[in-house]
Amino acid sequence: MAQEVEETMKRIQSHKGIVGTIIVNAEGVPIKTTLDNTTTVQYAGLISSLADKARSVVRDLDPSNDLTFLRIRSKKHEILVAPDKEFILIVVQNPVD
Amino acid sequence: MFTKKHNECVGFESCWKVKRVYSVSDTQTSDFEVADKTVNTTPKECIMVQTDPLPTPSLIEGVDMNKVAGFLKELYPDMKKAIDDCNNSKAFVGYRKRLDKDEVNCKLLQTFGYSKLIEESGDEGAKRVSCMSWNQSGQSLACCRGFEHESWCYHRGTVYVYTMASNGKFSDQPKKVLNADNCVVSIKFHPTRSGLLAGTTYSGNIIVWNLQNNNGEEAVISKNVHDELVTQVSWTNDVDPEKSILLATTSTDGLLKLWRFNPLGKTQDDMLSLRVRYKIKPPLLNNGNVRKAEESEEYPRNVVMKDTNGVVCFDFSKHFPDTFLVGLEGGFVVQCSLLGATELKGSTKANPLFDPSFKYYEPVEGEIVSLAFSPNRKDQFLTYGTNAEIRIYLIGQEDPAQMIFLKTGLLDVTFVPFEDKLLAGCGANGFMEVFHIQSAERIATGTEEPVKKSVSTSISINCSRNNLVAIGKANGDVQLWNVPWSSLQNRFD
Repeated sequence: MAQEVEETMKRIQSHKGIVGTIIVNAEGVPIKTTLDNTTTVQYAGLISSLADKARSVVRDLDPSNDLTFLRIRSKKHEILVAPDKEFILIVVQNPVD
Repeated sequence: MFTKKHNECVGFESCWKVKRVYSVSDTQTSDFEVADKTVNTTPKECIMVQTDPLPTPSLIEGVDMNKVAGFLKELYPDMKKAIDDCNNSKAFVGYRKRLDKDEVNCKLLQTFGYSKLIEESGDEGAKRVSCMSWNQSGQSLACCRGFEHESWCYHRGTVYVYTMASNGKFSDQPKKVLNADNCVVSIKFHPTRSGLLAGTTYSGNIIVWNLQNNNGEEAVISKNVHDELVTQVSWTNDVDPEKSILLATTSTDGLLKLWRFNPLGKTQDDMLSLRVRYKIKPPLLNNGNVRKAEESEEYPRNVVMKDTNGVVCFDFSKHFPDTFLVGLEGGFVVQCSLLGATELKGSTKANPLFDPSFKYYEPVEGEIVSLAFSPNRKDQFLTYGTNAEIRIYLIGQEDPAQMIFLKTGLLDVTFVPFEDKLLAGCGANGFMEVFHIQSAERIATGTEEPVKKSVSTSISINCSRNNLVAIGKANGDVQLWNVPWSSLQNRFD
């Protein structure tokens, strides 16, 4: 199963412009990553708390609604966040016009 | 005088002994510390370079991988769709956050360089900064001292490496002075290992310096790789899935060579082994139109008749790893492909020789000085020629999409990262010049700094902090500028 995880990570990584992929658990602790230590810890902590906040906002606006996907476009990167009950998948991409 | 009033008794704390605290000014009361300046008592750690391999992230263990695999399997199609959407989306094309238009002045942060160093040593030779390269962390800047050559190079090549201190300024004294047998023509830092610097020389050598080494043993590789002057060196990713990093060199002998670089190799041949050679043919001969071209007198006869044109410059696409551009002598611009290369005569298994030519663009009238892919748009690249003309090409179009005509020539031109409409260059005007790609106009880089006007020979934008721009001067100085790129572009928009 660990191999299957690796393969899926590689498949995501092989897409054009992908800088890195991180899987974090519900506590914001990284489980798998393709980035270096400092960047991983930083992204894992900050993005998971942002995803929590975003989820709270969506649920506060409509209690029957839920967050499914989060895209953050910055000047340098685009961060794709797919939250789930137990894990969060974070993909960092270089946007190209 | 006598009253019946009684005063209430009050108590006070008595203290039978007070310890006096005193200090004598003429004695040493604090702990005595000695530091001998002549010896290094603490373990030395060079902050200039990455000394340790990147640490592997501390990941938690004991996670149920079945769950993770299930999570990924379920999520992958949606994520793939989102990534594709991002790549194909045009929603943010041209979108830019407007900033305060007043903050458009460029600021000179510092002037440093090796001009004083050379003057002190009594050397009266040229001091021109011919080439510069920032390292991956953006903390070190390597500057090449260049000479003008009329025939053979008899100079000693020197590269000065400066390191930024914690206050963001460079010391006047270089952290390292690297020497080579001949003039160093081109230098480039490794994209991930910030201590490795590759350089090429006039005599056809390639040198890789490891800045972590001391005592003059920095050069880990010094090898003759071309018959003639090596015009450019660059690190690039391999098209193989392993994504190992290759070293590419071009020369006036007409070849582009790709080298496998293994930093752990024991011998020089282990560390640098040839992967493939490419011979780029000039377009007229390739099309079989020699006679027609001779008659048309569009090109000089010596260019038309020449079997091999030297490679002046090249650049690999950041977005398509198999695609690269080559500038040939005579102003020819060729798009090449690593995957579609055809084998040529003289190719052997040990020494493969291929022709990677894929597409020819309208040639530059004159010699090509700069050639670069846009870091912002995957289908855009620029050429700058000795005819003082900047041309912006689109990959699928043979004719230039935009042309910028200049009154005074430039010596170096570059795209600005993250600002898709800006170009920066430097030359005889002294200060950096910025151009707007769409309107082909010059943008005023208003500065109130009292800058001494001298010819600028080289420009390099810091890779981690894009507002930091180093400009190399003809007198051996380097100016460090803070340039608010976004404001410059907004001002024009």
